[in-house]
Amino acid sequence: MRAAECYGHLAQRWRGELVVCALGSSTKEWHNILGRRDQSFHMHAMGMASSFGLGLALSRPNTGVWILDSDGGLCMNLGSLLTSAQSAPANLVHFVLNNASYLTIGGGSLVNREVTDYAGMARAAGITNTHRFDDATLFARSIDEILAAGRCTFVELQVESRLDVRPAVPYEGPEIKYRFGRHVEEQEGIEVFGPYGY
Amino acid sequence: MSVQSPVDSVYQELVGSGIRLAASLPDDWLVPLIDRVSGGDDILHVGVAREMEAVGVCSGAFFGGERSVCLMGIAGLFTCVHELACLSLAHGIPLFIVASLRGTVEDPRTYQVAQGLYGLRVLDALTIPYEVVDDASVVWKLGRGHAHARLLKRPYVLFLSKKMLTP
Repeated sequence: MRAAECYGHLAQRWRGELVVCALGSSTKEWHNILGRRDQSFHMHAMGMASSFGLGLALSRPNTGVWILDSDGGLCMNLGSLLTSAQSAPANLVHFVLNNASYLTIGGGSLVNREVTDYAGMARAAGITNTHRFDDATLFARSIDEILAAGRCTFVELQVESRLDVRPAVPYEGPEIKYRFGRHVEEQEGIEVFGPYGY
Repeated sequence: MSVQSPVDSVYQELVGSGIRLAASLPDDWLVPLIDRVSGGDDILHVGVAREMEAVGVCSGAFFGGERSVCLMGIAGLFTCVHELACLSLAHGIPLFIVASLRGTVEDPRTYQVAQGLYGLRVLDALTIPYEVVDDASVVWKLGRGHAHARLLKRPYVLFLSKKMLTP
C-alpha cells in the first residue's frame, strides 16, 4: 500500500474538514493530491501535528478535523495519545502513515520498526475507535464507516517506505499561518485574526 | 468583606480577558491555579502528558478562534524549546504562557536551581518576551497577556511568583 493511494482515497472523501499535516512526506503527498492551497496547515515542528489538531478540534467542535501524521512525528509525541484519549473530541480523526522510516531524509529506519503497533498503542491509551490497514482497497471501502463513527478515531496506515518525488509546498511559516487562518475564517465564519490582521 | 486570594485574582483576570481553553501540566506551585481552572466552568481544561503538547494544543486553538493559555512550570518550559522555535516562532503564532518562576530565592528545591539559573536566559536567546508578576498590584497583566502575545505574533510569558500562586 502506498501513501499516495491512501491520500488519494481520503481526498475523494474530503468534505471541508480542517487538515493538519505533519512535517515531511505527509505534507507533500497531501498538498499534491488535493491541489488546494489553504485548507491544510503544514506543520514545521516535527511531532506537533497531533497536539495542534487536538486544539483545533476542541475549539471547533462542529467541524471535522483530520490529522495526517507520520510515524516519526508521532514517536516524538506519544504522550499526545493519552491527551487525545482523555479529551476525545468526536470530530477528530488522527491518521498516521507508518512507513517505518524517516523517508524525508532518505529512509533511515525507525526504532523498533518490525513490531510497533501504533493502533494498538492508541487503543491501549484509551482511544476506543482504532483501525489498522495495510491494504488500500480495504481502506477505501472502510473510510465512510470510519468517518461516520462520530467519535475520536485513530487510523494507522501501513505503507511502503517509498520516496516518490513530489514538489515541495511552495510557501512556508507565516504564509501558511495566514493562508490557513483566512481559510478557517471564511469557512467557519469566525475571527482568527483581529481587526488589524494579526 | 471577603478578600480574593492571589490564585482567584489570577483566575478572574484570565477569564475576564476571554481565555476559554487552558492546556496545563503542573508543578507543585501551580497546582492551586490548575485546580481552580479545572474546577470552574469558564475555561475548558486540557491536561497534557508533556508541556510541549500545550504549545501545540493552544496553537491549534488559536486557529479555531479560541483564546487560550499554557500553564506550566519553568522546568516544563525548558522542554518546549523546539516547539517554541519551530512552531510558534517559525509560523509567527501567538502563544500566551503562564509559568511558575522557580529557582529564585523563595524556592528551596534543589532540583529547581537550574531553572532559576538558566530559564530566563533561554527565553532571551529565543527572543521570547517575558515579565514577572509578583504582586497583586500588577495582576492586571494576566488580563493583557493574550492580547499582547497576539500583538507580538510570538510567545509571551508571564511568570508568577510563589506569592501569586497562593490559594
